[in-house]
Amino acid sequence: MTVYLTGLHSGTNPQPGLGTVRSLRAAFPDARFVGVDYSPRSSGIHWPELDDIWLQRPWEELNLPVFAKRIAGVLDEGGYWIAGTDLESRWLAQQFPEGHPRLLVPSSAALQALQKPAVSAAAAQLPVHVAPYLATATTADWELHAFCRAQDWDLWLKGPYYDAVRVRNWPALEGARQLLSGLWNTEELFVQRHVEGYEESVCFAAYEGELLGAVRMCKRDLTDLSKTWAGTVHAVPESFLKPLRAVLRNLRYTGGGELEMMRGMDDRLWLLEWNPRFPAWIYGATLAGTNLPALLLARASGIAARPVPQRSTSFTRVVLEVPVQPAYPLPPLPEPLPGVGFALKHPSGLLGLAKSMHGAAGTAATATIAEPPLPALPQDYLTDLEAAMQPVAECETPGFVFLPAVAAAGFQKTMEAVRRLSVPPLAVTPAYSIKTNPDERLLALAREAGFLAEAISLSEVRKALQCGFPASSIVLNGPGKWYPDSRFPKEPLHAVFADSLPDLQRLAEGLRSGGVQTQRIGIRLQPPHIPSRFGINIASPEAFEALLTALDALPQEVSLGLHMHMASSAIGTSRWMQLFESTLHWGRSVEALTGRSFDCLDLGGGWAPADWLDFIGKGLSQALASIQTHFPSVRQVLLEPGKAMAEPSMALAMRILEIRSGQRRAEAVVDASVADLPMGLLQPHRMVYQAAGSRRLQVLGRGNDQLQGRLCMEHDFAALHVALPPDAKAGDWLYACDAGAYDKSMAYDFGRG
Amino acid sequence: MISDAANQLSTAKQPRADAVRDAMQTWQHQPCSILQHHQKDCCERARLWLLAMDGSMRGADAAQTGPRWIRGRYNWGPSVWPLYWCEAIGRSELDCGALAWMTLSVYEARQVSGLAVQLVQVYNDDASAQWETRWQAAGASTHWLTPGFMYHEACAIIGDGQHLRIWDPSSGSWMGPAAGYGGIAAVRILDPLGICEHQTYHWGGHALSLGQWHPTLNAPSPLPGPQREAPAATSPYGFLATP
Repeated sequence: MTVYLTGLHSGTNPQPGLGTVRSLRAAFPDARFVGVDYSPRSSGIHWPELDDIWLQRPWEELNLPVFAKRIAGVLDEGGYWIAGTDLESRWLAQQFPEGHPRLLVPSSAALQALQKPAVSAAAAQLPVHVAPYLATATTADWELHAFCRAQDWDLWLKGPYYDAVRVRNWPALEGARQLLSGLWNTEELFVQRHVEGYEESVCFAAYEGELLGAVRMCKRDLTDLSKTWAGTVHAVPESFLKPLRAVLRNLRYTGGGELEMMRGMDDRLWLLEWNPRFPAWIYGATLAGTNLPALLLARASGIAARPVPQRSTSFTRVVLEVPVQPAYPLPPLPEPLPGVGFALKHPSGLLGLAKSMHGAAGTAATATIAEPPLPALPQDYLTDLEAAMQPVAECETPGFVFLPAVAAAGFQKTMEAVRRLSVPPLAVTPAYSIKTNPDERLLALAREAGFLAEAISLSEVRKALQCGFPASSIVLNGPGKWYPDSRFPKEPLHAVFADSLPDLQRLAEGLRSGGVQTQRIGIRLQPPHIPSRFGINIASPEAFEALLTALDALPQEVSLGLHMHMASSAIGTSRWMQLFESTLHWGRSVEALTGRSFDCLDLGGGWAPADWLDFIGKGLSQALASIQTHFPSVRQVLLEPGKAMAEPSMALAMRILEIRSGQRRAEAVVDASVADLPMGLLQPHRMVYQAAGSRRLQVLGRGNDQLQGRLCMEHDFAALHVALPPDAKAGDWLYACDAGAYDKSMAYDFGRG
Repeated sequence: MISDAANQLSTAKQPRADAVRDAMQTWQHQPCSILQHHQKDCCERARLWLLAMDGSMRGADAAQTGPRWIRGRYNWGPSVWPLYWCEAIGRSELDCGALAWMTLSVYEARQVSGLAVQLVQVYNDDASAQWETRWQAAGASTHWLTPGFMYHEACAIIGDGQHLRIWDPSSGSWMGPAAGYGGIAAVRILDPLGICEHQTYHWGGHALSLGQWHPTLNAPSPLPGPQREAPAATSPYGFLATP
């Protein structure tokens, strides 16, 4: 009996070939094992237990039809083939659509049904969960960003076959997306929520739908790449085996397989992916007494396998040096690329195989999205833009366009919600964050709607006063509250929150001397578990003690407030709620230890507009219920929407200066720049196109085209991935929506002479 | 010397049953450690700080999640008893008893039912000698060491069907049955918080009665085998796996 095995490389991300050979050799000592590989760099070709090596050219060089015929010949002559890589299994399944009794890989239909992330054929029947995921190719950036926020920016970007990159913010996601789509020549990536827990796998062998054997392995040591270095091997519970048998039967599955899972902290099992091959640690299962490769080969061949003794229920790995086979000397290292290094990953040319299977050759620029999904843009945006067109056409670009109806709607919806939720004795009051965009039109809308004003300096306090807010409607926060001259208004402010202990002490002194007039003093707490430079440190018992001492020193008649503030758009909406709950816990501790009560809670956070609407629609009422339960003394809850109000209120209008058609993408130089749209690459902006002389507005989706800024700066882009109309030309207009928050307020004058 | 050293270096042999019995007897009357409270602000501030800190550090994790942050903050080291909350909270290192009591308090605040766990663990003379020197230098008791064994404290949370998961605050990990170096020779569970509804709980294939030492070496653990029906499934961490 001759068995051909692939996937021999045994490096930092080992393949299963050698473990499979060792398992089979133990059970079939007289069989002939031929190692097949596609690179002389593969370390496993030197393994002494292989009887022969059949070395192929790398996949990217191989004439695939010719190679497929050779494999067919091998199979027809009685050889068995066990594939060790996912891509190869897929390719083989395509080449042999009817299967072959000696080709021990799953069918194309089975592979399709088990494709990650859905793993639909398995997930529905097995007692597992699948973490939330979203395909990037079929989701507009705007909606993708919303998904990432909902998953607390704790995500992986995954390719269709290999590679996963942890991403925690939009620039990281965009960078990873560029990398993976370029590597694998596909836009078919997906983001999936990270699951924290302990990794475990179920590995099995099956033949024509019959489960032959299975084990469960729990990782006990991991490499830096989270690969198994040691593990314990166990039986699989019947509650898992029974549905697994059904899945395999339905798919008429043949071959090895590994279900990679995570056991969450709540003890739930999360299915990460189904690998259609044995895992690299397969010999560990053999050591534990279950020789799955042998079970597979015995069933396929009808030849009995020698039983293997059970040597241990745990295994670990060690590093071994083996002599290099003289017939396959080690290739020299290539010259290191500057800034890159040796770049030796995938020496077998798997990337080339992926490109071939995707049916397109070339660079990442060719991996286009056939029909880019368009972001949803409410009608009132387009209505406001259309109304603004004439005056804008006469204005210099780049320039910000104010969207009055959109802006007003944000303030109105917020006031409607908080009025509904304000049930005596608890009042909910929003305070507009001036720094987000101090445009007087927005301040006017805020005042008219009934908002307070939230300031971070005495300059902003004066701005609010000038815009008609009484002092009693102004909340003052931040480390720079004394800027520029420490002169507080004579009338009491609504609230002043201390950002540090010295700040609290200074405020207390100000209260005593009369230099500070305010209805209440509060404290902002620095979360011990989320990096932040703001707030009073409570991360050590000593620091907490110092806070309590400072509060004890405050006059008893001073009303006390508690402030938390973290941008939910940055940390995620669930994490924001968790921060809120932990702030309540700290507040309860402070009340219990000082004997004082908080009468005001200030809940700040940079909310994306859509998340803000969700929050005031649902999350806020839950938060208020918690407050009423745990802080019955609180009479007012302050909210600080800034981004949520301001972001949709303005768009940045720009003109195309020049179109440079690249090989497979358009590079449009626009008159805007990073100075006008400083958040341009930090978060997505919905883009609208208008041909010069036309009134028609067209929402743009994601594509390969770039909007390059007018500045001579390598990082100056207004957008990196947009699908311009094919007939876009110099003089046409573009509007970057969602630019009314920090794009507007942090824009600066640059490069205009 | 070389042969002695070689003997010492070899994998710890399974202790004899009578040695385990003697070890259990040594600590028959050993109570679990409880941080003392002055009934004043000093200790209450310390205690509430710990609980509020846990509220932050746990994040969105399930209430049953092991509070590994405690081990991240405090190294395992000698403590002198009696030890008060206000003294313990500011230390850079704490012994297993202090860490276990802190952890039990955290679980109580999370409304997760927890028990104190006492363990007899297997270690070699090299380990004992090191610990003895270090604890004596700190003026701490070495009563928890006896040849071949150490007394250790952990805590357990109660899952479905009276199944326990034992959390070792000193290592920040869940404990499963194990033999050999660091293995668990005996276990005793106690209910210092008075939360138990039952007298017997299950861990690692063992039935544990409250207040009694149970030897745990040489007990069967589930092993895989070709086409063999799995026995009652337990995870490597001792609880009944419910996928």
